Amino acid sequence: MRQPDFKYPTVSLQQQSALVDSWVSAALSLSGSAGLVTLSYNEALNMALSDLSDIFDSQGFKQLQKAKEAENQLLIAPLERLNEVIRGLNNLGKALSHR
Amino acid sequence: MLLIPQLQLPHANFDMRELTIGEAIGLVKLNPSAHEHTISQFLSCVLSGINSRELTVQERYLLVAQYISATCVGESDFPIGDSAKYSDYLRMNHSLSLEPIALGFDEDWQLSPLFGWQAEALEDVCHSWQDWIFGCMAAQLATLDEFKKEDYPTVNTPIAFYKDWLKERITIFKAYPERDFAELYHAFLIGLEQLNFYFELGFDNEGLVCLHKEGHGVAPARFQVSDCLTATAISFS
Repeated sequence: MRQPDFKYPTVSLQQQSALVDSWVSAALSLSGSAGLVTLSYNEALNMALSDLSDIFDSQGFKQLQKAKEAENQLLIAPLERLNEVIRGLNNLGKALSHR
Repeated sequence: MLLIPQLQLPHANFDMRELTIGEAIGLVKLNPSAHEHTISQFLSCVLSGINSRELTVQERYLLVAQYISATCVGESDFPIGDSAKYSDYLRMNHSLSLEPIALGFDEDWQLSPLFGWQAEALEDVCHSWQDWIFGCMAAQLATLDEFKKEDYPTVNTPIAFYKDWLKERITIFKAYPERDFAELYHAFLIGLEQLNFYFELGFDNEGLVCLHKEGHGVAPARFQVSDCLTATAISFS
């Protein structure tokens, strides 16, 4: 009838999976023991889309992210020191075996 | 959560709520070409207490467009393409009427608005803009006697039965003598103009489109559910 051949951009398969991935990742980052906010995954899925933007753009969330990173660093630090001790012991073992 | 302003129409008020992340994931996985099915799923998420399949296609498009308008970043009169805006397609001066229009002829042909449940079935049956024209004629045109029959399809008719009914009716219309068909088609188009509330509808290979107020020469629009989703996800990708 009128302009029957006009084509519309639809969401491609690649865009589809990118969208799903971004939402799932966002929900995961808010939920579970590894999440910054203590929600279950189902609770995160029940959040409104704009809540995600609001949370991720908020200063509070950015501070939480920094605090979580600092906490992770604290947990990692003794392990790194332990690794260094093991490395040192290995080196010592090698040095002794060359004698 | 965004508060979406109530859509107040002369015959009803519609309250929509924002999509959740889980609903958005479900919607984006649907076939992007199945526009009418996707709109039904979308409206079943955001509207409560209303079966969107019972609404006219124009009401459904208006609800999708209003949702985009309320949730998009920027102006509520959101841009469409390079130069057009939402308001270029909207015709709020023509209010909804659900009464069939009498087209005349010996058979007393009546033209009804197209409803969501019919558009869903047409989407499965039609594969070109010509199919859509025949399909809409089959769905919307009925003689006065047919209307009165008890077995005339309704929203409660099983979808498979309705699709067979449509296919049979399309075959009958296609077999019409050319002159008779041309007269009926002409009356159908004039009737459609009277039923063009909120949006003026046209056809393309994927179904119904909304025409620009200037009509010819300006690209028609389709208010897609994917437009309600993509803007929100960009910030996470």
